Amino acid sequence: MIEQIRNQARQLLENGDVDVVIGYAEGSDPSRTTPIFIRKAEDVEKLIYDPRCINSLPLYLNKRHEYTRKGWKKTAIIGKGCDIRAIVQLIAENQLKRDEIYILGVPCEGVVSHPEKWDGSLHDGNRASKCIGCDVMIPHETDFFPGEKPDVDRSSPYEATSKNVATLMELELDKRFAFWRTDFDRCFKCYACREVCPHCSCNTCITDETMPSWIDPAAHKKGVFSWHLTRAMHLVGRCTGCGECTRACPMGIQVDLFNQRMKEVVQESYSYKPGYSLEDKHPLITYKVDDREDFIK
Amino acid sequence: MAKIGVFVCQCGNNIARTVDTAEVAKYCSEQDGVVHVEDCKFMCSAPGQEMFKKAIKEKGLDACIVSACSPKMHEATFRNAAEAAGLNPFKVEIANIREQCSWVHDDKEIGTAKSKDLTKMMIERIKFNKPLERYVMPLTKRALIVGGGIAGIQASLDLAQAGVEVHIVEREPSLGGNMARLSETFPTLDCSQCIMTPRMVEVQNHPLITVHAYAELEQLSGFIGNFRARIRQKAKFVIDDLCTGCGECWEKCPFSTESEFEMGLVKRPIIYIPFPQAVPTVPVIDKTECPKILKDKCGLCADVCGPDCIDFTQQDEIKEIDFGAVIVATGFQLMPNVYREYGGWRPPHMTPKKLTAKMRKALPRSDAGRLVDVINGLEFERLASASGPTGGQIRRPSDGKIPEVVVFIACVGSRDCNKGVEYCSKICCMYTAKHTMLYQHAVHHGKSYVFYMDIRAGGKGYEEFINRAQNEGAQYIRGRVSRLTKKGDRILVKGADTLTGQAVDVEADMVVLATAMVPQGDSEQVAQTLGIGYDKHGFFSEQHPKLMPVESSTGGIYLAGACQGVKDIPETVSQASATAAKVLGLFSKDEMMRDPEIAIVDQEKCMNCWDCITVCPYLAIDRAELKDRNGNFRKWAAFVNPGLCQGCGICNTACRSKSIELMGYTNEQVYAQITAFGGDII
Repeated sequence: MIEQIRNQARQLLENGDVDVVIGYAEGSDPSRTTPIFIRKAEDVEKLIYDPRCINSLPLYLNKRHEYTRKGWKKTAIIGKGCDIRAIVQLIAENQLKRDEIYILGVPCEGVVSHPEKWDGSLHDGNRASKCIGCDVMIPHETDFFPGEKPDVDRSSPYEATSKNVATLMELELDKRFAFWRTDFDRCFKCYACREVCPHCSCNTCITDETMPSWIDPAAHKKGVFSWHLTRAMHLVGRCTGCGECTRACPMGIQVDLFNQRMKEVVQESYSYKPGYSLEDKHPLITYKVDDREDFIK
Repeated sequence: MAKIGVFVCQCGNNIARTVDTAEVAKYCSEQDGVVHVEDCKFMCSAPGQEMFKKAIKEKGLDACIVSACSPKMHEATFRNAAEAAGLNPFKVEIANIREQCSWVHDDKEIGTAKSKDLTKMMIERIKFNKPLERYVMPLTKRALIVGGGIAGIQASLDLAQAGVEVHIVEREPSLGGNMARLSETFPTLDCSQCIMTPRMVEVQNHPLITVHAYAELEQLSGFIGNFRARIRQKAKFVIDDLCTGCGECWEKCPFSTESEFEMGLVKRPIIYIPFPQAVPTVPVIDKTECPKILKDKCGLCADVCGPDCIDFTQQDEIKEIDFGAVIVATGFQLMPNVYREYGGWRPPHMTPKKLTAKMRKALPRSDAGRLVDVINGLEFERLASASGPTGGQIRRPSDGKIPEVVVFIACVGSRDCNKGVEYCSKICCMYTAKHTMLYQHAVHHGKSYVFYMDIRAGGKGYEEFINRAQNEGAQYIRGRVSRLTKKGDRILVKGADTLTGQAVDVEADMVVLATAMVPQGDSEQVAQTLGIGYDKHGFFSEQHPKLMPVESSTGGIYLAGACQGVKDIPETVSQASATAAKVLGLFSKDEMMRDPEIAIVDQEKCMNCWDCITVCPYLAIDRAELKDRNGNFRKWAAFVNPGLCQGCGICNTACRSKSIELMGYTNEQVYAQITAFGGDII
């Protein structure tokens, strides 16, 4: 499989069809992989793909990042299904054009939840929660796919949300609040969750605004709560569930629980799954005649 | 330092009852930046306003707060007063301590404390208010009328006679609407078509009126004075300009289908005009039925057409036209499927023969689906009409026999909280009385019974009309009908006479249901296309039930006729004329003043996700290319057209990067307001 991808990447680079190929390479230790930017055809042998490839590469396609200003006209990117959802969402939000991008789709069997859990194979003990019930193991939007691409029914809801969401939702409201009070106590507002998110694309983040300063910059409860709740709200109907925010958090706060819960709510209320259509706008900014109205009291 | 004046109004006793205004005034005088406070009995009175202006001038105030009633009531009053005194009107804000405080609280302590908070919030907010200037906007003096029934016709003639250009959009092939279906009208029994068709011809011939028949309004953008309508002219497959209306084509058409105009009682050709007096007299081809269009067979109409005006390749055409005002006159329909209630249910426009076994099984009662002689009011109108399927003879649909006994049932579907609509359909008592008379006049030896709940005949000459119907032979029975069953070729009506307390069985040849008037089936979609409010039934909502009965909730859009609520013809016509008067009032000026409270974009911050463009209900936001000093493209950014922006603030909320500010409601103003109240909470 990876041989076919390498060949395709080599051809693309040799023909000058793309300026760069973004993929994964072996990392600093055997459990890790690292994102790699390949500009020379001879380097394609470095490309790998296996369950250790957990990083969300579409992050680099976000206009906010310096990389997009390097003048590269066309980029090829290795995408597992969930990353391609992020790419599709970026296109739907006008942050990227479809013809700027060449998607090398890979069939994916799931990835590990964290590099440390890698023990040579993928099993239920170390599989990321987003991979359970995934309907894009055969990716939906690709320019190249190794072998024949079978038809997959993607009409069902998103993959199962993390068990932690359900556990949390069962708690009483004040207990749930207490959980977050303790969890957020550890947040020191490094904004890793923002930096790693493929959909945070504002030039000036609301948290950096000073006139007025809607989100208190300090890392006390008020500042932390307003940051995380705003982040969750800004991603409603947009988050494609890569889970990178939680993985990137140095304090181990499960910040994507909010996003997963919002994803459920959007799905139940509007049967909408972000990341599957290049044109559809998310339900919070659109209105349809048959939209649910029963929650308006 | 700001020089703020605070004016606390007692509103007689309205506010003073639950708010200690003197204490609020004292509290405000201690706030930073406040240099003047007043506690006044009636701020909106002439002396109150004089005092307001005097304070601005004498104290040199640069911002004013009026703590009084809702800004809906008197914001304009005080802004105008401030302007007269030389202060920018947008440096005046209202703190609502009446609707949002005194009226909803009983406890004076709570009321006073809340009033202090509300006013304090405004004091902090107004420190960030910037002086704004009003815009002058152009105005398109052309009116759009949606619906070509009697309401639309009346409004268009009134407007055109006053010199205003009018366009009527009618989705059927002809003007006329429901009124064209009626045989005679109460309370004078004059022929409906005889009084209506001259109006229709007048509309057609008026140089200022354009009729878009067989067309639908697809989209309405813009705002009062500057609407833009997208009208879809459905393909008629007949070239308007060439057609002479000779009738050769519809007479020769070998195929037929149920006539919508005749309520399915008879068939019409596939190329058709709905009724002989149709305006315009240009036929249309029903493309869902025409074999030429569906499978390229036939084409007889094209062969016989003298002027060669049939074009099977015609496509729908989209027209974009600018308007200054819109009158909505989409009318009503009779409640569909009410037959079910009385066991006489049948699918609309479907004869019993067409019922499949499966459909029969699905019907609620064993003998249901077979009572063809149970008809609704509009069907009876067609039977009684001289131009109807029976040529004005009243014959029942099943076998064409002249009915000897007819039962009329009032309040079918109306005044019925459980199975129908709660409201009184208002016109049914009158038209049922009319029906008995029409029947009695046509069938002299016939017998008519009316089952009624109450007689509601409040109108000029209406009660007299009911008396006349009763004197002419109609027997009125006060009571409801429980069910209708088949008995031989007749219908057994099982009812009750609640005045004598006895059960009443009548064997009738025909039953006429006075079915409730309900809005058109797609009225909610129409309301959403137009951006106007509607109630739970689907009737369009007026701005104020008493004082603004013809204005919709959106400026520049007016409501005429039964689309707003049940109405008879005189009321519909009066309302239509009222809308015309409103439009003429709007068009009496050459330009409009617009408030400057609109959105602006910080184009450097904009990250062009275009969510604002998606959410904007007024299509006011566009994409702009930003260039550097050498004229090279630099970046894309959103741009708000100040002429179109209504200041609703939706883009402001949708913008994640906070690149959009709503003037008069800037982030700084709102933040100051919030923090003045609860900034320290969490």
